[in-house]
Amino acid sequence: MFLFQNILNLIILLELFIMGDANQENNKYTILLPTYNEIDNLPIVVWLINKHMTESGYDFEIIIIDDGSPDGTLDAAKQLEGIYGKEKIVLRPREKKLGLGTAYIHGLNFAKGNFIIIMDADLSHHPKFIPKFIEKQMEEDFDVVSGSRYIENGGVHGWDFRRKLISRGANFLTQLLLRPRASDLTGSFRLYKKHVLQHLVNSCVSKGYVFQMEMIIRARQMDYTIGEVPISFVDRVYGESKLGGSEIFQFASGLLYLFATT
Amino acid sequence: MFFGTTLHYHYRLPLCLGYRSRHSDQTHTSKKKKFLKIIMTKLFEWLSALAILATIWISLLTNKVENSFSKEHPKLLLYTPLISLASFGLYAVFAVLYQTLNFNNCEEAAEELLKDINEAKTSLAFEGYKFPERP
Repeated sequence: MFLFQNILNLIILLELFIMGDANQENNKYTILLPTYNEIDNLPIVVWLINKHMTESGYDFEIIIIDDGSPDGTLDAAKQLEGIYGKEKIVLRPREKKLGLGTAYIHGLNFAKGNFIIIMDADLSHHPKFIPKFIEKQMEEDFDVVSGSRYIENGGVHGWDFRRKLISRGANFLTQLLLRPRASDLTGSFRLYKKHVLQHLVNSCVSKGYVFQMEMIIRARQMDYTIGEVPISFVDRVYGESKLGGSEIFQFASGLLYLFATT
Repeated sequence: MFFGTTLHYHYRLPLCLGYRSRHSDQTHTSKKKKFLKIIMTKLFEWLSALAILATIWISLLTNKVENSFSKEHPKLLLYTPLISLASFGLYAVFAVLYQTLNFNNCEEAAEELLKDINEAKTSLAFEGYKFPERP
């Protein structure tokens, strides 16, 4: 009887040791990169992710979800798969442009990591911030870590006065109406626990970049904890970035929708 | 029944106008027990606050509540909503302008990115990446 209890204790101790180890060391970070016509940017983003993740020693994989880009982004991705290996670069292309929300759901199906990082592949989000997101997450075991352009040490580059005014005005209005307790709602550089992202993606209905707004608002609504990291947003070096009437209309209707439903 | 009773927030409230349902599952949310709280949509919160303010204003205006202020400054009281709206508008304009003018420009980040791009290109070419030819 005594011996039996000793053995049982030993097993429990061993199990705790193994599980504790798993919690500390076996974190894996999956980076989802939805792309459309990013042949110039994609190799550089991947190279930078690899550099910063390898330097800081985190286990990671990159899932590239290309929506049938006509410029050959997929071929570029295949070359990168050849260079970095199938463990690091996972290609999950789709036939045609199907939208951001479904791209995340699609990518999530194949993600092996317990944390998911979402970012734009157009170099406006610098991969050097990813280790900072991870450190922030570990600080207080946050469910979501959101990059913010609007807090101290954050910012934007390449925006004229008009663009800045619209962005700040929209942010002011959002903060006033929704009181989201997160400073950057339309930014899309974020880290999520995998199950949290799954839960959020399934409960969000918006399209386009209002989707990013809804995700963080719903996260608050569901009592998930959110940490923030300042990021510098450098507007597209290659390619065109747009902010026209249709984007503003999209934003306004999204804001009203969230105002009335959350 | 109502005060001081600890109930989990998944306690179902009757669904009426303005109450939003919380579609969260227990397993993923915070572990703390919460007091029963009424969850309103932001729209409903705004409407309630406005209704309360309007009630106070109208009761003062029609002198339903005895007070010396409304007798001494009837004009001021009448225009209070307009004055507060205008001053809030002014505050909003200045706040947004201030934030816009102080929006960090990140010149260093842009320079660093250009350097990183060049480094990446050299390194990628060395590792065998073939950049597509541009016309």
